[in-house]
This record gives sequence, structure tokens and C-alpha cells, in this order.
Amino acid sequence: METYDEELDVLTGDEAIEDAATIPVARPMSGLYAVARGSTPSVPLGPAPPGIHPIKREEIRLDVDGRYPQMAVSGTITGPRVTRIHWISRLTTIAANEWTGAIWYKDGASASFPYTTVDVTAHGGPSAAGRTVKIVFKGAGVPKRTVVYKFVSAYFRTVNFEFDFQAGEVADTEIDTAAHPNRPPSLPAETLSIRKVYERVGCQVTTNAGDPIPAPPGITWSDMEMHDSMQIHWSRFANKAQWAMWVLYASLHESGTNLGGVMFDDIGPNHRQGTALFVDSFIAQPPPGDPNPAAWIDRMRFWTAVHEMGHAYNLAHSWQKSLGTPWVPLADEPEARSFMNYPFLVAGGQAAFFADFEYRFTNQELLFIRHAPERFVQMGNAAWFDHHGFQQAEIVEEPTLQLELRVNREQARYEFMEPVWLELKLTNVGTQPRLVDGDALDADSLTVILKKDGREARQLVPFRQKCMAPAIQALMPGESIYGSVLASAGLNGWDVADPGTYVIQAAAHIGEEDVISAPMSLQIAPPISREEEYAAGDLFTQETARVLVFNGTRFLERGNDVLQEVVERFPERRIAVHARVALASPLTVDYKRIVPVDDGRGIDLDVIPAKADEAAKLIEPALVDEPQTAAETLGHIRYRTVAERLAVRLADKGADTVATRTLDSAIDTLSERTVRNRPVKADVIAELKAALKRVKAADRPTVKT
Amino acid sequence: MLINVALQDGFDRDTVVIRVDGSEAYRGEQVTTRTQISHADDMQLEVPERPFALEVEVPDQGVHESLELDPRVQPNVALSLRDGQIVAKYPERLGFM
Repeated sequence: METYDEELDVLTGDEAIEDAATIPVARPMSGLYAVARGSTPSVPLGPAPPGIHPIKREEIRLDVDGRYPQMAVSGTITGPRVTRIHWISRLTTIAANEWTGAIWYKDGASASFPYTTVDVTAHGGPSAAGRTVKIVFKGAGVPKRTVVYKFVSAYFRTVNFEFDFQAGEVADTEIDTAAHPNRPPSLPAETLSIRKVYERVGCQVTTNAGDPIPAPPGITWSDMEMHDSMQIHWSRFANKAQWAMWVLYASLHESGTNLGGVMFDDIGPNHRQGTALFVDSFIAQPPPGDPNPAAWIDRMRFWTAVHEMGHAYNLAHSWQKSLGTPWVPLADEPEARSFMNYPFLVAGGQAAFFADFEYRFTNQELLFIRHAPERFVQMGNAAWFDHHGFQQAEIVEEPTLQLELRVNREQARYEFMEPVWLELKLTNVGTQPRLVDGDALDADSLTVILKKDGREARQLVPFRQKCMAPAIQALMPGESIYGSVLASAGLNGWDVADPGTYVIQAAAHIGEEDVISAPMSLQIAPPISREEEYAAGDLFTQETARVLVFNGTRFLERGNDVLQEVVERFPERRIAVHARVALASPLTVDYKRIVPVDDGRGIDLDVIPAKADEAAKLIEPALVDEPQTAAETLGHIRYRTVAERLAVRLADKGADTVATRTLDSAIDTLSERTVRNRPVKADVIAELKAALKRVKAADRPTVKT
Repeated sequence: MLINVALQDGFDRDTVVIRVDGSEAYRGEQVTTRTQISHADDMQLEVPERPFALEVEVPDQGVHESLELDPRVQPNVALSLRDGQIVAKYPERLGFM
């Protein structure tokens, strides 16, 4: 038998209705619908950027009836890797169970989603499971796209709450809405729980039984102590985004009685997972003369708990909606009777607030929780007041591959102008061999997200997109493959260059699986002189970035000029090492250029001879005189690669002496280096020694250097 | 008498100076809002028991605002910095959540 869910004001249940005529309410159609994996829409999505096909999953949230309908439909289309399209439409009813509306919001790979309107038709079946929604997508100049979605749930999201409490306190998560006389006359008298409040928002809520947290009497809490407690006591704690949050009922914050509660979790990479309310703070101080002080306190505690949990959903205060980085332009609602407003801040104060308060969120808050892209709302995903991170990633439950993102220096601090080369290590941590693409750690195979404090996240768009057959290799248990990526710049520009703190996260895509690294923080120091500030304007260009990432050029002269100037003006700064390598590299080979001839009717190959002596003068100060600096700023992987490649090339051109010195330095330096108790692998040293042996054994003319 | 003053939204590593009838009563350095509680700093200020001038200055941003207050009817002052201006509210109490 289908059941009536009073929280949603909808019918739920999968069983057939035995006697439809006896059902006392209309059959609402709102809820979550999806196309099963592998289903194909009637026409393809249209021109798509690489990576959006095939569609892995497509779901919609129809929001047209039930409690607080927003007259909206939103959808999420998930492709392979982490690509995704998210859209939202406002709906107008045109007939029973038929709506139409314009798509006003698109997020993600929206270039492949040219549709501007939707026609929506809902069909009820004899059971909830039989409900379907058909959507016809339309756009100018593109064929219609028709998709039929099947009912999944009457709720839009599924979330878990865990209410723990300081020993001696009580996690009271219910309230009698009629207990206090100051309330809207129309407010239903009921026992309202926090769970019910969020079910009415559209979330299917599960709760974990709360546990007491040992704490001495009179203890006050710091944010860090609460964060530590969350990690210890929350049964679902994980350093990842998940639809779950922890709520602590504590006595007082260390800052005193003026703090009624806080979403304390703006620490670390996964924000908004933990909240607390302070039951002995000012929220337990009713105004003088209140007609029912005990009920006032109960209501204020209940309100505070729901309020802090709203922050965990990334809801801002009612009067600060337009601040920060709102997901869409939002209007401030300073007089809203919402869980997200302060009762004592509205005109008329808390008495006026509660006289009109119906224990609900505003429509723009409901629209956000129900329809905004998941990463903005989900706990532990987008940072508080901001949005970033991997969404919809295909992460396996028990991964056998591990991706490590690191820099080979004790502290991830970079000088101003110093390029950031990240190192990646993909390890088989399982017990069985895994097949992986040997190029899986190349920049164009990875997804790298760069997030500067106070700015939106950006995805690194590398300069080069290779088209290669996968180089499948077996990665045995315990084995690793390595790669290095320039994070500073790509086709988006110089995303990691301004002074400040950055969080970087990478995903490698192995078959259908996304292997995501832990986030890594690094800092870029401010410039040490006005001269550096001015020089940065020339350095932070696409052309110079290309010269750095492609190991030099004899064509992009402006880029070379900038790097030459860097070497001359800032010889002690680390950017000079990178500049020397980029300038020297093309001088170590006979450089080929295709040039037009016969007024452009033909082409010829112009070979510019190597200049080993000039190359040596550039390389020695960087790789031989300051090898520790070179190893640190280039990273071990790139340092070894650069040293070996340049040495072999120099030896080929007869510059044996500097070639030998370069390799000797690399061997000595990497043998000595230990970063965070990690020595360089013996294999690497052995390979460098073998290269040195070959260089020394070769019978070549010697160039004096 | 004492009034309660809170610095709420919009502060980001700012120097904030508050004067009571021209005398400096508060100076905060690196004042920064914690947005989830709309709180940057709060203090109690000794003020005369009559209408007085409360001046708020954020020197680095060229912001200077002077408010006429009567502490007997405005014992709580919430100050925010929005669009280069100080916005004052006088709630019945100060608290943060």
C-alpha cells in the first residue's frame, strides 16, 4: 500500500494502490527521477567537449507540488571522469501534470548542452515506482532531445545526521510548536523534530544515535577541540564530501556566552561537516518578562541547531546572501522569518520574528538545497561561502589504487615567480596486479583542480593534448608510476602565481575509476621587491609559460627574452633555474624549423646548429653549481629528467666535461636528498650512473667549456 | 555606562578605529569577519549616559562614519562594512550563531 508522507505532503511507497478511490490526497509527482545507467536519450547530447560521452547517469528533481513547491525542475548529467552538466528551469503549469519553462541556470560542461527550454510531462502509475517524467529539451537550431525518467524517491537528497552531546547535556532534537504562546495563529501544534524540518526541505534523513562526549564540568570548547572531537566521535567522519553531518550539543564556546552556535568546520580541506550549539549560552537567556521562559529556551535551542545545520548545507545568513560567492546572484532577506535569520536582528526583535515564524526556510534557501549543483550543497564539498572540488567522481568503495600529490621539499612554500611543478605517484595498494595506462599521470590525462584562498576553484587546462594509444602496463602490488605536472600555468593563464595559499587536488582516471589524491596546500610568497612585481607582468604570460613547459624554444623570441632578463636580473631567485633550463635546452640540439619558401608556396627545413658552449654556460650555474636548489625547485622527477637529457645531448655535441659534471652533480645530489624521510629510489641513482657511464665511454670530439 | 558594540560583516584584515566623542575607545588590527557567525570582533565601550557621537573609521579603505547614539535606547550596536560604507543596526541584543 502506498503511504502518505506528511513531511513532504506526498505519497510514497512502491506497492500497488489497492483502491485508488480511497486515497484522500492528490498524487504528487515531485521527487527525484533518473535514467538508468546505460540508457540512451532519443538523440545524443549534441556537440560535446571531450569527455562528456557516454552519459553515465542522468537524473532530475521535479519540484512542483508537495510541501513548499518551488515550481522548478533541475537536472544533472554525469559523463565519464568528472565531467558533468547541471541545469535548472523555472516551471509554469500549462495543464494537469504538464509544465514548461526556460532553463535559467547551467553549470559544468554547459557548452555541450545547447537547450534553453523544457517541456515536462509527468505520468502517474499505479504505484510510486511506476511514475515517470518525460522532458523535451529544446534550443534554437538544435534537434529536440526527449528523455523519460523513472521515479527514484520523493526526496531530492539523502542525508545523515549524528547528534552527539557533551556529557551532562542533552541532545534535544524535538520541540512542541505550541508550547510558547508567541507564535503564528495558524501554526500547527505538533511535535516537530529537526529530522522533520529537513524532510520538509526535501531531504530523506537518517539519524545516528547520539553518544555522550566525555568532558569535565565547566569545560568550554575551542573550534579546534570540536574539530578533534568530530574526528574521534563522529561515527561517519571521513576526509571526503558526503551527505552527512555531525552536530554537537555543548555547554559553551571558549569565546563566551555571546556565541550561541557555530558551524565550526572551516578547518582543513573538507568544510561544513561539523556544527555545534552552545546550550548554556545566550540562547538560554529568555528576555525579562517572557510568558514561558522554558519554552522560549527550548525553541531557541531548537532554532539554533537547525540554523547551524543550515550553514552545513552552505546556507548563509539571511542578510548576507549577496556576500561571498553566491551560487547565483541572491537578494538579502534581512526580514525573512527563516531559520537562517537572527530573530533579534529583525524589526521588532525576536518577539516579532517568532510571531510570524513557521519553522521553515525561505524559498531561495529551499531552491538552493534542492536544486543547486550537489558540490555547492553537500557537506564536506565546496568550502564554506565558496564552491570547489571534485563532484560526481567515480570513486570505488575499496580503492586498490592510491594517488599521491606532493612536492619534494619539506615545506610547500614557493618563492614569488617560482614555477610550481607537482609530482604525482600512483601506487597499486591492492593485492592483485592492475592494468594502468603508463601515460595516466601526464598533465592532459589528469584532472587537476587549483583553488586559491578567497577565489573560485579552477581546473588546470594543460597546453598540450596528446592523442595516443593507451600504453597499458601491469602495475604489480606495491609498484608505482610517477609523473610531474606544471601547475602554475595552462591555457587558463597563470592560476598558481599570485601570493597566497592554494589547495590543489588531482584525479587520475584509470578505466572507469577516478583515483583522487588528498588535497595539498602550498603557499606562494609575496615579491621581495618592486622590481620583481614589475618583472612578473612580463613573466606571467602564455608565451613564457609555453617556453617553460615545453623545455625551451628558438621560435617564441619574446618568451626567451623575458627568461633571459630573469636570468640577468634575478640570478639568485629560483625562477632563474627554470629560465636557464628552458633557455639552454634548445641550444643542445640541432634545432629544426619549418620555414616557408617561394612566397609561401612551399616549405623548407631550416636547421639551426646546436650551441653546446652557450648551453653549458646556462646550465652549469643551475644544475652543477646549485644542485640542491635545482632538485628542490624542479622537483626530483624533473631534475633527474632534465639533468640526464641535457647531459646526454651535450655529450653528443662534444661537451663531455659539462655533461659529466651535470650527471655527477645529479647523482651526488639525489643520493643525498631525503624529503620527509623519503630517500630517492635506488633505481633512479643506478639509471643516472648508467647514463654517466655511457657519456664517459662515448668517443666524441671534446668542446672546451 | 557601557554599550555593546559588534563588528559584523565585511571586514577583511582591516584596521578599525572607534571613537567616542572624539576619543579613541577601540582600535583593532587585522579585523576579519568569520562569515558563518557574522562576527569580526565585539567589545563593551564606556560612553556618557546621554547622546554622543560614535565615530567608526577603517583608514585603509578611506571609510569614516559618524553616528549619533543615545545609549539609553541603543545599548547594542552592530556595525558592518558594506560597499565601502559602515552600516549600523541596533538590535535588542547581540549574539552570534
